[in-house]
Amino acid sequence: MTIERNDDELDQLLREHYRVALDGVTAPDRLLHQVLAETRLGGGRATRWTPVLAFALAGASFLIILASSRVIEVILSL
Amino acid sequence: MNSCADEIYGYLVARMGNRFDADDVFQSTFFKVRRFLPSFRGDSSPTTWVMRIAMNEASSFRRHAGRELPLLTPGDALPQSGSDESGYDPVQAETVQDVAAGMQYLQGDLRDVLYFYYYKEMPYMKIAQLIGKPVGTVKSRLFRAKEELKAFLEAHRDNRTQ
Repeated sequence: MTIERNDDELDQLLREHYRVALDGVTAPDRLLHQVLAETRLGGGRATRWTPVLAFALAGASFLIILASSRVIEVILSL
Repeated sequence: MNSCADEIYGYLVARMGNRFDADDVFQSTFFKVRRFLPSFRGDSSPTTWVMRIAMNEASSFRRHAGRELPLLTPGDALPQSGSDESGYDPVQAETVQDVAAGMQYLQGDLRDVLYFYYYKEMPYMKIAQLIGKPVGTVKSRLFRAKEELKAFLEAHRDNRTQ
């Protein structure tokens, strides 16, 4: 047997469902602290590695320039 | 921060259907917020911007993972028999639980419009702006969601009465 459920009844049920399930729901404090702590940690980690990466990049560029100048020197001496 | 976080968390509990998945998506949402904050142009309110990120995160989470738990489990926020003399109706309570079960069968985009329309009581236009679709799409999604939910509830009631 199928009974047609009218729209008003469904509207009321949906409102009641959300009221029961969500009224008073707040983001748990531990979750907020976790998110804040991890985003800070992520930022700190990136900041800590920045000078190391910059130094490594500068070193690599210097080596490339040095190697290419040696290659040019060899080519010119031929 | 807290009112925005609560707003997003409430949405995610409704969308994911349980707090476990909501916790995961909440975290990934705020990681994205932090990452994309420099690109926020301010052409919508910050809560709307974060809500859009949360909606995207919820969609991709549901695509990759299948873990799903009922929104309302016995002993959850639903009023218990005898705990409230002012109008506790066991039949109504059971039906509300059926609605929660039916929600799990709806696609995420249908759940979204139900949530914004029935819980947040947003007008069609505002929902349309939020989800980035025309008003007609909001109306048709709302219609489809209700039809699917109605079919689920009827089938559920038929099974119970047999």
